[in-house]
Amino acid sequence: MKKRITKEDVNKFIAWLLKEYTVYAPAGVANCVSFREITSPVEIVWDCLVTRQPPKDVFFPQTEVLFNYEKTADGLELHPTEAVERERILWGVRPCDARAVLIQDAVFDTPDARDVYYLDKREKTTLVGIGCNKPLSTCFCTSVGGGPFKKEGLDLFLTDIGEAYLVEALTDKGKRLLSAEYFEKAAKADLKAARAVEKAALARLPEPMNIETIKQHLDEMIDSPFWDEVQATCLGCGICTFLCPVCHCFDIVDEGTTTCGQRVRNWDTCQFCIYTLEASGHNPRPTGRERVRQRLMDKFDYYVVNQGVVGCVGCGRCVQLCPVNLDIRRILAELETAK
Amino acid sequence: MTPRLKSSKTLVKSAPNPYLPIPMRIERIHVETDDSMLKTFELAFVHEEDTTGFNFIPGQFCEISVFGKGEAPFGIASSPVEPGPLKFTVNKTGVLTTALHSMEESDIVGLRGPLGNGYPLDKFAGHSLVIIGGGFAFTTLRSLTHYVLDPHNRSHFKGITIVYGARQPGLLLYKEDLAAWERREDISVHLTIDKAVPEWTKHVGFVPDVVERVAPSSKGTYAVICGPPVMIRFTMPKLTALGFPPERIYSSLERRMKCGIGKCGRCNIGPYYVCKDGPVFSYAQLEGLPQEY
Repeated sequence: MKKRITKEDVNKFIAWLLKEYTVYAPAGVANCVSFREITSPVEIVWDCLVTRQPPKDVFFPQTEVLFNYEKTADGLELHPTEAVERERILWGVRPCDARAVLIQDAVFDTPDARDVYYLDKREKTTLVGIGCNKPLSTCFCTSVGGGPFKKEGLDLFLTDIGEAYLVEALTDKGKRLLSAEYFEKAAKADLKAARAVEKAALARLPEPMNIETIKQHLDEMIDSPFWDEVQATCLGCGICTFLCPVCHCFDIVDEGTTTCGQRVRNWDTCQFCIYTLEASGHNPRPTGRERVRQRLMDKFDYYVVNQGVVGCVGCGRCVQLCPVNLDIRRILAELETAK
Repeated sequence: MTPRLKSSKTLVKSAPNPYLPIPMRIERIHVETDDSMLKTFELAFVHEEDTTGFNFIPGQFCEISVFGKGEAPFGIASSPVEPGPLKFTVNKTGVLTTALHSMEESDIVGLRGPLGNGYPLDKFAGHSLVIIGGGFAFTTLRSLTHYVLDPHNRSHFKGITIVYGARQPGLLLYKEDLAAWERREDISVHLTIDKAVPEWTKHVGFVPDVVERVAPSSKGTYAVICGPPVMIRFTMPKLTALGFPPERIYSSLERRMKCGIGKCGRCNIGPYYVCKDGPVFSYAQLEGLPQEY
């Protein structure tokens, strides 16, 4: 089902949504645009293609209390964090980030252990995506199975066609939104304009890399000196993993005393030395060599084994923000000759 | 009756919350070794209803909460065939284990589990077993040994050999169990210490050398090996020389863990999570993977 909405009406629509939903959208604080809870449509930054942080913290907050604990005279009381009350809208998700949500779903929602903290928020959220008319030089979604107008994982999809958006409902959740009065019938010209925008966007992206052979190369490169070269420049700061929409690692810590406090989970990263450090002093990944290898192997080898997809959606945040300009695309390209 | 979880808006009604520990009462603390660094904690369920549904197999582990310090994984040292509390033998080595060591009987800890896969008892059935342990890595091997020696289970297994070594006699765990097993006819027990001391009449020398001397024929035999990395490194070639293929050598691996259910990402070895796909692996599974353990 496709309709159109004028750019003027989009703001009215979002204001209407705010009455019923908690809305997260790209919004800026001190020139840093990330997904934040908004209170008015004017807060939305529309021209930011790749937000600083991916929207993963809407489902998987950087810091989240799992439960409070309290020892009582005759035992123990636990007070788990409560379910969120309002339905949520995640507005303005780019196709790469939406694909990353699907990859995270497969981690957090397994039949044997369902992560109820993630699922509660996930099930109550409608994802409104928007196509990328002008992919950036750091974007490489088409190399890893995505595309600037891919709709996987989204409920509603917007294409910017100038004066208006062409809007497509992809799920029942999306249809519910599209039934609002602000949408009108799409004309043939709108569909045509959307096709033109999509074609122009694809033309901006480089030729997709061949990732078919990457897993095979990696399998043969466990002891390769190549990892020493990569780690020689890496600072181990972990920004590539913290800002990765796919990365899901976390730490669990207690904050409090032996009698009362809270158990909290925090984002963590495989790039830190203490991540695998054991109390005995033994560290299975003692140097940067093992840690940079882990990041690459996890994304382009282990994910393929476990999920059948690579653990990278080509958003390019790690490329944009690495302080020493380590470029995952270059590393992947060099694998071929590095063996 | 102790109050349970305070009612709250349940996160997802159809699914249990896998992060909530159940309360356990420390029923007994037993000092295992001369240096007092290893204690066995016997934990009893505070709530009767938690007992039902807690079914485990040897080789599985639990996350134990010491509130205020966090959680850490420990192999279950008791066996499903033993009645009574769950046993965990803990080496005092870090923040959490130090806090646990300072706790007293009747104190409350939290427990999540059982977690992990456990030993492949179905595969072992009908075969001989050689169980090789070193230092304080005998916890889940104790569970396994009790299981296979149980009157209901013993006939499902052929010969059972144990090789267990420690630096000195006082550092061997489970001395009562070892003495009882030595008295039995249906199990061959070989204890060894690194250097001779007066009144020690058993083996002297490192585990790999004892294995070489006393191991049963590799034909139709599974080897289970747990111990410090250096012991494993030197025992593996001996087992290979004795004809054990990697498919019939199993080990229980340890890694730093947090969630214990395959979410937090910390404990992977290649595509496997030690918490969810392990902790028990055959060496055939580990071939060709980074040796990150």
